[in-house]
Amino acid sequence: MRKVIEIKNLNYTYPDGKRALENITLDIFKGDSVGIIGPNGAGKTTFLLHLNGIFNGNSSVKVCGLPVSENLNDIRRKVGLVFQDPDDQLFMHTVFDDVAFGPVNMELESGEIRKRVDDALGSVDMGDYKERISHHLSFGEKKRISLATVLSMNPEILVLDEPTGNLDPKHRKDLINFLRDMDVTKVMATHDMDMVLSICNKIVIMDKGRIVALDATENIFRNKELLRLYSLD
Amino acid sequence: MHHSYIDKYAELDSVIHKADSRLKIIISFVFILFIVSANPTAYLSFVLYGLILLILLAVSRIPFLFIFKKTLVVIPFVVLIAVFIPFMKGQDGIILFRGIVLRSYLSILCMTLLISSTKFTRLLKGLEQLKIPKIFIMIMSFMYRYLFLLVDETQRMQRAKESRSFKKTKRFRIVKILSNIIGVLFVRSYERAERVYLAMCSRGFNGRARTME
Repeated sequence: MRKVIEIKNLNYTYPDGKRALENITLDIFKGDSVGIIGPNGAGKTTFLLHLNGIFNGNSSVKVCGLPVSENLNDIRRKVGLVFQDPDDQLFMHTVFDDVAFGPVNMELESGEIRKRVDDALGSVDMGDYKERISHHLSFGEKKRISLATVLSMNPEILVLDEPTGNLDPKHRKDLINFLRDMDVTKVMATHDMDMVLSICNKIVIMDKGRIVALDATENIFRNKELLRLYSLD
Repeated sequence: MHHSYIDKYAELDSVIHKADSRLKIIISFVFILFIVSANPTAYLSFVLYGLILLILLAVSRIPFLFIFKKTLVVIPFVVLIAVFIPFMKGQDGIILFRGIVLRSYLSILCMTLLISSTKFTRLLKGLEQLKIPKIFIMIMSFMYRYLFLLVDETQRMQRAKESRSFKKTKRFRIVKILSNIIGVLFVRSYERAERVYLAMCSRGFNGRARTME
């Protein structure tokens, strides 16, 4: 199997001196679905922001064999990152402009851009929302469109920060089914244990900036002691 | 939450609403040029300009009171700036002062009419087609997108404050709370701007504002 993400001894300290990530070493293979779990403030989001070079730590992250810090343009086409708050992710005034933002930056031609926007919005069941204005949408709608803004770039790796956070039960279930059927490498930070169980084949447990456990999903869920230690049961 | 401020009546269906936004932008611009270059003593031309705007307003079917309220907001600023002129120039100064207030009010009336009768998305599209630099259009688009979020946030903080106050707050304390709210809002907006920028970078933004050809 091909390694798509290689991380060796990644350290990151916030500008204010607080240690955020310590000695993270992790390999992610093509087709993997990795769930990153852990308490608030464990460093999950900070870690995700390293996967497309937003943060650089000691720059020991490689995506598809390329060091992230030197190949930002390529990396950001390959890695689609969806932020937790859809109001951060949706910054243009119409849904169409937002979903087209990535493809426009990739300098695709307009026919291709339109097609990608249609496909991406169609796949999250928001095809009729193209001309809508973002601030008039409900939270669930914004959350799904956030995903579409990244799908339109056809990423090889999908990085999601709390994809099901604050969603109602129906949309949460739809989203889980959609993600499960999607054939790309996925990395997601979440508190949603049911989702992790139904989508992810590997689990990383983080605490205080460190990886404290890394194993196949079934092994983690079998380890009752570990689950109790991190209140995950 | 649903608000609509500046373009509350932009969905109406009148001749003015249907007109091409480029045309509207150019006409408004030229009209304002005429207004500001009018002689301060040429009262007849002011009456004429005002009359034209009122007729356009009537045709657009936007409620008169709505426009009137929107335009009033700007008057204090104009008066504040212009109020010193009569003291410096005596009798001429009063005429000059009156001219400035009249001209700015008419210009604002014209702009308000343009914005209220055009959907913001179409206004931006029009500006884009008129070759206004993309960076300006992007800034306006961000302003429009996040203005509403800012108002939401203020309302939420206001409610949180109200649900924890039990008796009538003293006036001085209100000022203190208000300044606190403004401070927190500033910090939150700053942090949001940072996150939005990161979200833009994640989708390939590298400092050049691009739009679809």
